[in-house]
Amino acid sequence: MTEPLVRPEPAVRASGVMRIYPGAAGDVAALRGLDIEVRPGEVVAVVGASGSGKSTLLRILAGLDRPSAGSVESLGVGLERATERQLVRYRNDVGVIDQQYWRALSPYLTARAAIELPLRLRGWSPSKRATRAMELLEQVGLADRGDATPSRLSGGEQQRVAFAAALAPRPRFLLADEPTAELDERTAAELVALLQALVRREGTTAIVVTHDRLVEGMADRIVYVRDGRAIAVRNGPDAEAEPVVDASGWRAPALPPPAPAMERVEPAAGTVPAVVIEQLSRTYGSGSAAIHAVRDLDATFASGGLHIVTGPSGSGKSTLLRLVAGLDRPTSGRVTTLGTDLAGLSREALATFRARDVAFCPQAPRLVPFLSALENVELALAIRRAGESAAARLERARDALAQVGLQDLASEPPETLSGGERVRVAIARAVAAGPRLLMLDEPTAALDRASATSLIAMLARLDRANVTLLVATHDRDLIAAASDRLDLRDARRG
Amino acid sequence: MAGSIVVLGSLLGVGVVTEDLATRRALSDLAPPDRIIGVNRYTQDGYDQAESEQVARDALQPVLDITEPVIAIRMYQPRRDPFRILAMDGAAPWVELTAGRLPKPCTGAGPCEAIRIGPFSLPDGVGEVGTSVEFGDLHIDIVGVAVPSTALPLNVVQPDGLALLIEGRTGFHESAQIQQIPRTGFWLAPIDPDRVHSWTLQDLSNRVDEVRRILTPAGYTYLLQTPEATLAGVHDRTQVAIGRLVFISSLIVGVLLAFAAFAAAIERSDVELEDRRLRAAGASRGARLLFVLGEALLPALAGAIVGELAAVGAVAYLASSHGDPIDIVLGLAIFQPAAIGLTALLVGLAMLAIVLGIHPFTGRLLQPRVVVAAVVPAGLILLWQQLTAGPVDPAKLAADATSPASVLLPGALGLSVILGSLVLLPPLLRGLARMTRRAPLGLRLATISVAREPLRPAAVMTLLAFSVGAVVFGQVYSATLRRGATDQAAFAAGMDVRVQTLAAEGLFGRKVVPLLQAGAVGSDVDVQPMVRQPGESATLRTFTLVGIDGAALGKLRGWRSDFSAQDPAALGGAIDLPGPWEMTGHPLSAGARSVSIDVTYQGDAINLMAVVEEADGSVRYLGFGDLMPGTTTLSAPIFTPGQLAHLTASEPSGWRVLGLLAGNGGDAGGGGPNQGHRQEGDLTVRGLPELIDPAKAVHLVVSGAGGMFVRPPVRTDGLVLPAIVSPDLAGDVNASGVLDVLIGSSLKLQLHPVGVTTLFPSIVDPGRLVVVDLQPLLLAMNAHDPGTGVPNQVLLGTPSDARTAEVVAALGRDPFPPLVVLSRPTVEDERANDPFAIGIVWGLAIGAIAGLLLSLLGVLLAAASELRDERGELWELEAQGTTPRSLTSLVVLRTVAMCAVGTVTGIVLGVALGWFVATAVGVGGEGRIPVPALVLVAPWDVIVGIAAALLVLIGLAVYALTRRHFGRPSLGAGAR
Repeated sequence: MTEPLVRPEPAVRASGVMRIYPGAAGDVAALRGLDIEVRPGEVVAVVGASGSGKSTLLRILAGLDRPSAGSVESLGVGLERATERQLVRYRNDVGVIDQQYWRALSPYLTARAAIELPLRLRGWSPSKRATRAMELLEQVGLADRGDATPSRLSGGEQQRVAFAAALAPRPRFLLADEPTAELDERTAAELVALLQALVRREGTTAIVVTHDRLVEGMADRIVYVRDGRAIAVRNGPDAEAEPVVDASGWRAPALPPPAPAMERVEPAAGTVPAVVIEQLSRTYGSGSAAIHAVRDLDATFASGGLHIVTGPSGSGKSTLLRLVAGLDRPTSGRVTTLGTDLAGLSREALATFRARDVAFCPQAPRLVPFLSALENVELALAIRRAGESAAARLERARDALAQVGLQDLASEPPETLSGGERVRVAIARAVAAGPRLLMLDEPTAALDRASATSLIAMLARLDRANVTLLVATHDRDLIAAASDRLDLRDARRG
Repeated sequence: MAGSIVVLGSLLGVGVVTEDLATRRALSDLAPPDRIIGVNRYTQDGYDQAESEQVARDALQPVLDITEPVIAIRMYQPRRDPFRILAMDGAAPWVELTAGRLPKPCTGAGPCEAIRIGPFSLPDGVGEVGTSVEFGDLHIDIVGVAVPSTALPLNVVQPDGLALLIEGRTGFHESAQIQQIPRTGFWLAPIDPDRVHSWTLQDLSNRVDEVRRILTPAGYTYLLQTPEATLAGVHDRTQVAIGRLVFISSLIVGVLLAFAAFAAAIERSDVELEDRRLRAAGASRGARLLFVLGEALLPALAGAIVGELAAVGAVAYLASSHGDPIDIVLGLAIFQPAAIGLTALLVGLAMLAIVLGIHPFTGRLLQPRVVVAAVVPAGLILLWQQLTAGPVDPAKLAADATSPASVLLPGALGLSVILGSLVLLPPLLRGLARMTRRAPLGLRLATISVAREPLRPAAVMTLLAFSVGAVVFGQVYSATLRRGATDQAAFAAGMDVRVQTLAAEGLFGRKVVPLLQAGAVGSDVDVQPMVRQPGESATLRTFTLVGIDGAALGKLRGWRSDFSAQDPAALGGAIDLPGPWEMTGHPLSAGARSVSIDVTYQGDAINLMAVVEEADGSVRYLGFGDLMPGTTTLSAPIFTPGQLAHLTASEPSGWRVLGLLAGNGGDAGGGGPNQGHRQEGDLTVRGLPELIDPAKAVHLVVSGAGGMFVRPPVRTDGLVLPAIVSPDLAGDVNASGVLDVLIGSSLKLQLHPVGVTTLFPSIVDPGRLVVVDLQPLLLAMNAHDPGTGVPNQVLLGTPSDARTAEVVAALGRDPFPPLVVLSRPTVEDERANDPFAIGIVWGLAIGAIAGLLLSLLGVLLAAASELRDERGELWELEAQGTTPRSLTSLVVLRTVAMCAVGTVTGIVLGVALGWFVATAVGVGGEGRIPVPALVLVAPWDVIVGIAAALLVLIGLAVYALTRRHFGRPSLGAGAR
């Protein structure tokens, strides 16, 4: 006789969950016996370093992946042995919010249609769907934007629509993967408040993977995960974290100490400015559809040190960095980078200029998926330092990976690395050639605190006299460590 | 999809129109006797002539609306006279007068006039203009000579010997004496080719059945002649040719399916993302599958509708341009159930191709589902083939138009290859990219770029391989067919013209061949007489014996090096035996009227005749009567009294006595009970010293029909003739290396194989061969049976095609009798202009153009979409310092490299397919099994030219596209 799949409380009970993926250098264990329990209506935040297995846990709980071992019972369904049909039914009770909200929304669907889609898939009548969609659009403050497609919505608005779509069918269980990671602080705060209100109002059980303290603040319980296991639990933001003790008596190691205050990175004194921006404007499109990404901006960044460009989502941080790197041309104004007026350089000359002196690490760096971390860094060196031998490039690449703490993962391809580790590989790729100006776009957005801290520490170790760091971010810790800050919201007002 | 349907529909339309055109042309090209629905009846007298007339005309009633008016001919066959009398009404249009005038209508009351049909009269002058013949009690004056016009169905009548034509059949009143003469009545209705279509063949067959049904109760003396067998042959040929068209369209469909899979692969990442969204949103497996199917079904259906409409337009145009009824052609080509089923199947296959292309699982190596998807369709088709048409056999494929394998397998195999390459190429490309660390940066970036999203390059390479494969196949197959047509024409003609006769071969050999050798068609024409005879080896293998001058072998245009390992000139030298090769004869004095010999005889009453050779080589036998014991003078008149009246004093001249022929005589020679009994005797002959030694008695032994030819020895007696033989005959030699053969019914020859050949020009019938030197063969034949050793075929070599045309024209005029003339340029032209051949060439051309356009379009589409989708990667490379020029080189280099691989693979594929179709399936463009077999011809200059042009075009187009992308002053916002 088979065991019945449907059981009563708790809402989620995962026990000894293991998930092993095949990797280039052997199997990689993303989860190593993780235990977690969530009560109905409870909001649980899962916090952990990059690569600790948070996203894997979420995929398993969403019914999109299966554990290699252990048991997971969610909403009365044994996910490790459920049939595909049972999983489909289970997924009808689950809402998922992705960190990359732009991927969650079909570019062809309006906000209203995107919210209605899951309802349609669950067989709701058109009138009920319309009512529910309107209700949610009002709740997320987008009642007048229902007919807009994602391309007409800002990042924050898109994430709101994604929230609404995930909550539309009134899921009994909500899973959110770093929902605020790519949002600025203010937008993130608004969304957290919104999420909290929606979840509480609907009585939804929720697990939110995050490293955002704002999100931690809304949770009933915080579960700390490291190396694929739950190591501590904190019952509310103000409570103390208690180490996990499993049934066998194994006691998890203590939580790592909080990240130290970041060292302030100062520019070298008395040198010519690294970047001079004069009356800089960049407008995309024209007429009423014109978007003024940067308008009449004046700024100077001294040589050396860590310079921050901050501002809300859509304030033009990334645009500014591209203009400074010569990857985009201003509509008007002038950019002088490392003493070179970029307007005078052709696209060809700009590329040569960058190869020699400027490194740029975008927010979502693209690594060659089938090359190892080491080969990815070496490939960048082959572009920048064509005269060097392959052996010398490899040596330099190893050094760069060591600088970002990835020397042990040098032979792993990006697909087996966590999001944070991939960012570190990209930064290693940027610093390996020893640029004079290093620009990073939201480098800590996908990193947990510890990783972010170590990244900033690594940045601080760079030769400040010769390397100028220009970073677009809204990470408060990073901002705190900066030599100076350019807030584009203020700059715009000014 | 639209392209597939248009191509398929158009080719089906080409098939229908071609079939109709071929049917009509086949009927038009048929000799009148072969396209006639005719009734004939032989009767011993004319008493029930009116009844015969009524029955025949009633019987032909069902077919009269598809035939020309009935032509009625009556042929009188007098028992004793050496001529036939043909009577018809309104003969003038059916003959071409060459001498004299047309006869006046003959009523039977009083003398009548006639014309002689054919140029040659009887040896004793009967049939000459100005002479008369007695026909029963009717006196007939011969007033002219005519040859039958090509339209005249006189050949149906096939009068043997001399034929005289009188004007008047219905108005001809037969006397009682003439009524006693046996006759055959002919009622001939030639089918009007314009009133028969391929789709009415069944109706024609039904009508013929109706004629047969009407005739059957009238009795077995009524014989029906129909072209059903010919039309069935045309139909079979049509089916084979349509099979080739379907095969070609199937290949094109394969290419288009590859394109569908390729285009789908380009959209794959978008679909994958959408599928993820749906899955995360809680969509069921069915809903997700429905989404993927919808993605496949909508374009496939839309394409099918557009394609169907375009195909209707194309077929309608095709039909109207050939004068065919549009509605019928459309009904047969597009709206017939099989075509609709095929269209539905195509939509299904396209959907499958698109689903496989866009579905995420194709990215994973050798997933069971991929393997199943790749193998199952081909497996199912092979199973279907096995159950319905038996195993896949090239010969069957050649003959079968609708075999599932020929229709569907190329497409299904194509799909399997596409899937296979989509599965296998990605890891290969990735492996290659990792190996290029030490390669120049541009090359390294190019390989990395290719391997980064390997599915798309794999799809591009596969598409190009298929497209270029189709183009190359088209070129190779076209060139092979062209070469095949040239080879077949040269082979059939031997040299430039092959001349034969339908009439008696002796007449041909003694009248036509000397005319040709005397330069009647020009002194610049090389005349090579030939003998063809059936033969049989001692091992009972049948063969065709060919006698030809050994020196002529090196001049045979139809010779191909694959016939024999030896050079034709060397083979000719090996069989050539120097002359002279003549029989000894005793000359008759000029003006001789009889042959006389003194004989002494002792023995049975053996019958004796003198064998006399006339100046032109023909032989006549002069009877001495039965030999009686004792010494006596035997004399035999050479001419009949009637013949004597037409001779001059010096005639005959140049005649010779070749020997004496002894046969059964007395009671063994008549119809009595001792007929054919053995008789013997000893004969001493005086008066023929060149032939028989007067001092020696010849011992005669005769029995049965075969007499004893008394003649002096000839060089071929006991001679072993060197011969070129078929491979299996070469193995039949005895221990002495001699091959014993029997020619005709009684001529035994000993041959010594000196060479081996599988085929010999002008011998188009399949089977074994023996080739020997002409003159010794003629001598051997004449020495065995006097007068039989004459050429029955002539090969003519001309200096140019223009001269060939002149020679052919000359052969159709006086003094030549009606001849069967086959000229190399004409055959080549017929082969090239055969509707089937044209249809296939059109099919190949459509395929080639579709392939080229698709490959160009595909590559540009891929390059554009790659630039779009790789915007982020390229942006990052530029951000890292790679110059736009390097990036342009990278994109162009990788595209051209991919295309080069795809193109080379396509060339290999196309040549391999061409080889398979040309050699294994081996059907010529006109749907026949060609003789000699097709030889693969790969026009490398054209193929390399097309490939190079394609690559250059692609390179330039991609360069322009890339320059547009990198030529902007800045990168812009870049990719997220």
